[in-house]
Amino acid sequence: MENPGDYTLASLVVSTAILTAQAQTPITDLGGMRELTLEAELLGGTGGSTFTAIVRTRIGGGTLREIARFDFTTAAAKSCTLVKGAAAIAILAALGANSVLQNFLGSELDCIVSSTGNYTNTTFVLRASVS
Amino acid sequence: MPSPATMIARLDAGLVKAGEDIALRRVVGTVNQVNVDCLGIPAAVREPTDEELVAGITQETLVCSFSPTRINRAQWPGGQPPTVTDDPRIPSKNRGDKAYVRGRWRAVQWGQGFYPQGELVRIEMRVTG
Repeated sequence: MENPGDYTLASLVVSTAILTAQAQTPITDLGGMRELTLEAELLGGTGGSTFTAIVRTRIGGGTLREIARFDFTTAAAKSCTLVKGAAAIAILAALGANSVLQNFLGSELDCIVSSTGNYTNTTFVLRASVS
Repeated sequence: MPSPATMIARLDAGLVKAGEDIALRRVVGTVNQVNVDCLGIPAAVREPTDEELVAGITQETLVCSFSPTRINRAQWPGGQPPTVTDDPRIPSKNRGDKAYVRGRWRAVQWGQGFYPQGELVRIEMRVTG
């Protein structure tokens, strides 16, 4: 692939401000990506209600499609690995809580975050290892 | 006037010969902090000149010049919220950035990008600590 390596898709302070599908700037030039490992961690995680991070990808200038969704209430760390595998028809749609869509890796990744409640002393980070 | 790509290539070539590796760290959060690092950046590092000392820059300050090549390749510091309006690739005192220079992490005091023809070709930074 073009640029294998480790990237940070999101790193932000989660506060009392409600976030509604706030898109982070994308990581680009990932053409030929065959495997993606994601590590999502909510540190602190006190005072709030829900925090959701959704990773999206797209091919060329196409529509950004959801491929992984992490849901949190309190501090936790979660991971998943997505791969290109056997051919199969998949429905491209909004993901449910803590779920993934396999077999669809484009050339760009981004992350959208949402939160409810009044989080204090809380930080979120989402790292990606692509190859 | 050479193109930005040519200027970057010339700077990179010079830093390969005469530079030393530094690292940049963006620290996110105050209590539960996350570090986003960019390692292995070739840089020209020097002590302050006499004129800079007279102007008030302290002796423990180090001045670093480097190209954006490594930063662009790593896409450091990664995805940023829309509230970040300045170029996130430029180290900043206000963001609490740190740099690993000559054996230890030091606080960034000042950072400046240079954009001939609108493209980032060089970054200068002062660190202390």
